[in-house]
Amino acid sequence: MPITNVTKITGQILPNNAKISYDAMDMIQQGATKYINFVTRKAKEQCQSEYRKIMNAEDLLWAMKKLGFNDYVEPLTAFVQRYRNIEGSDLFTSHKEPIPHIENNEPRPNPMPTLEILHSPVPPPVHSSKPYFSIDTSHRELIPHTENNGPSLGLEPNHMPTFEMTPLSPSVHPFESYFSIDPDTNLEILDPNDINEIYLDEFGVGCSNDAFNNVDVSALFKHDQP
Amino acid sequence: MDQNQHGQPTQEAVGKNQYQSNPMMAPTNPPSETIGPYVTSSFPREKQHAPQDIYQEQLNNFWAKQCQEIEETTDLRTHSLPYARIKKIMKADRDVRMVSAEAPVLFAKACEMFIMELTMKAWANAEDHRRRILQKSDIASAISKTDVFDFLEDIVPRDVGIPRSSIAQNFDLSMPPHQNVTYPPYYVPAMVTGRPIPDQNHHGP
Repeated sequence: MPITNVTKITGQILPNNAKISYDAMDMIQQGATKYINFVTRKAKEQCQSEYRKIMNAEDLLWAMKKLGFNDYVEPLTAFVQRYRNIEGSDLFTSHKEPIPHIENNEPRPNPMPTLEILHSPVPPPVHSSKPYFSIDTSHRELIPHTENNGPSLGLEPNHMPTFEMTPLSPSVHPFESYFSIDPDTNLEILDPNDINEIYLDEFGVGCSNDAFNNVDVSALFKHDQP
Repeated sequence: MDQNQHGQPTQEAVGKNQYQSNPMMAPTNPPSETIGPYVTSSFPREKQHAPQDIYQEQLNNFWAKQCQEIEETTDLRTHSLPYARIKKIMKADRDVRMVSAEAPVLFAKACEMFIMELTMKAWANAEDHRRRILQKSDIASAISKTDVFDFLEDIVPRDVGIPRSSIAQNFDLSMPPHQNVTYPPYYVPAMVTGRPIPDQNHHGP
């Protein structure tokens, strides 16, 4: 039995000027525990004699009377009757109590933050594809197409020597990929297809300025102007 | 002394009438069984003296107040003692498997009255010795004076009363036979009410 409860009960019965030692309090505490065991053991006999498994208040009252605690029976009988009357009303109140618990549980769920993955779109290589198309038109050697080649060359003035090399493989796209990676291997692959063009280019590389001057002198001047 | 002895039977008669008058108690109290506790309760009265008469009045007032308190109190939810703890103590006995909800509540009130009665009797002993601090010896004395508290003999050490006054020494003289007698009946509760009678008869002469 908790010592604090025993202290409160003894405080109710003792005068204000009275004090109680710890040993005495401990002794009363043990006495209360033994009292419960003592009465319970006697009440058990009553339950077993009637083949009942549940020990109730009447069994305890019977046991107290058998054990000599006659003075307890009358007040406890009244106490049990009062308790049963109140217990009936307590049942209704007990049903109401769990409702606020449910309400309290509802707002508890925490919203989890959703992760938004932003996919950055990769822009296609527009500049790389356009010069290839322009190179295709250069092979036709048409006057309006040459005019179109002008602004493309102007956009990339630093890559002039590359344009001189790219006309070698304008029609074949997979060869363009090889050309971009390894220009030497690309030339080797083109050997069986365009032998004449290769030889001409080889000669042209040595005297590229002279070749362009002989073929399209006006075109060269036009490219330099813008 | 003879007059006192004659006076006690009248009190016993009054007690019997009180119990018989209660209709709630009638079916649970066969007349043969009621003789035992009355006989046992009469012996401590023989030992009473002038201060103990006042003490008896205090007890009667105590029980009267208990009945009034139970009738007057509107809120019985005051937890004097925790019900769960009481239930654990009841279930310490393995044979006790199921307990109704009313049993711990009843025990809480019963223990409260038990503690008050034990404290009241112990305090009376402290007042007799003109002390304001309740000590272990006071409780031991209260336990030895009351027959219904025989089950508490094992928590009373034998050496507590020795250094006390002559009255305590008398109690010490009476302690050994009580202890010798109460040990066997402790395991057989039914015998507790029977054994003290012959011992007290010996103490009588």
